[in-house]
Amino acid sequence: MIDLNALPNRKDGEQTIYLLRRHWIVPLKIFGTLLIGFALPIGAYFIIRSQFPELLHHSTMTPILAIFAGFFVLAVWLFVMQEFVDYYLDMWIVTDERIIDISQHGLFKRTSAELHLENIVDVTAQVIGVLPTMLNYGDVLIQTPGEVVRFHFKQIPRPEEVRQMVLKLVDEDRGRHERQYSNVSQTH
Amino acid sequence: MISIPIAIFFVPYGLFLLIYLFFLFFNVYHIRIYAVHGFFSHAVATVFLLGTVLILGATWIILAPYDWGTSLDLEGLTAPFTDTNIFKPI
Repeated sequence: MIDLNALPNRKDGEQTIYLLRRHWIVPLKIFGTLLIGFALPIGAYFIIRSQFPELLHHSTMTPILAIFAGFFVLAVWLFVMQEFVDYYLDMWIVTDERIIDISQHGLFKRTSAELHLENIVDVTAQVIGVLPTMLNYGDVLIQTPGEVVRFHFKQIPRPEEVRQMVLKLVDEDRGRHERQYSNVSQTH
Repeated sequence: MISIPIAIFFVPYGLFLLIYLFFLFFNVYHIRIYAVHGFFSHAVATVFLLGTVLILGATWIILAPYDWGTSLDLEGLTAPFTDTNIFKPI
C-alpha cells in the first residue's frame, strides 16, 4: 500500500499537501447503480408474484429465474467493484516538491507519473456544467513548457482552491531552488 | 421429445463465477498493493469479500431447495408459437 508519509524517492522534509480523488458524486453514482441493480430483481419478483404467480411455482421456470437472478446480482456487484476500484485507485498526490499522478484503467493498465513543481508553467481550473458549479467540482490542468497538458486532475473537489495552492507551491519551490543555487554559487 | 436437465444452467453460471473470482482476486490485490495505506482501504477490500460471500450464500440458500434433476422440455417451450402464424395477413 502507498504510505503518504513515505512516498517513493521522498526528499527530506517533503510534505504531502493534497491527496486528491474525483468528487464524491462519482462514488455516489456507483452506489446509485448498486441500489438500482439490486432493486431490479426484487422489483421483478414482486411483478411476477402479482402478474404471473404460476411462474413462482413452476418446476422448471422458477429455478431458472432464481439462477438468473443470482447471476444478475453477482454481475451488478462485479460492475460496482470494478467501477469503485477505478475511482479509488485514481489519485493525484500533491507535495511541496512534486505532483504524482496515479491512474488505474481496468484490471491490467496502471500508469503513474510524477512532475516536479519547478517544471510547471501554468495551472488552469475548469468548472463546466450546472452540477459541477453547484457542488464545486471540476478539472485542473497542469501545463509544462511543452505543448501538451502534462497532468489532468479530473472532477476534483474545489478546483480553484487547488489551482491557487499549486501555484503557491510552485512559487515557494522556485524560491527555495533559487536560494539553493545562489548558496551553491556563493560557496564556489 | 427433446429435454435437458435444468442443472445445465449451472454451467454458464459456473463459468461466470470463475470470471467473477478472477476479477475479485485482482481487485482486492490492487487495493492491497496500490491503495493508500489506511483503515478505509482495508474496509473496502473487506466489503468486496463480504459482499461476495453474502451474495453467493444467499444464492445458495435460494437455489438449494429446487429439484435440479427436473428436465426442461424444449419442445414444450416453443409450443405456444408453433400453432400460431405470427405473419397473419391483415
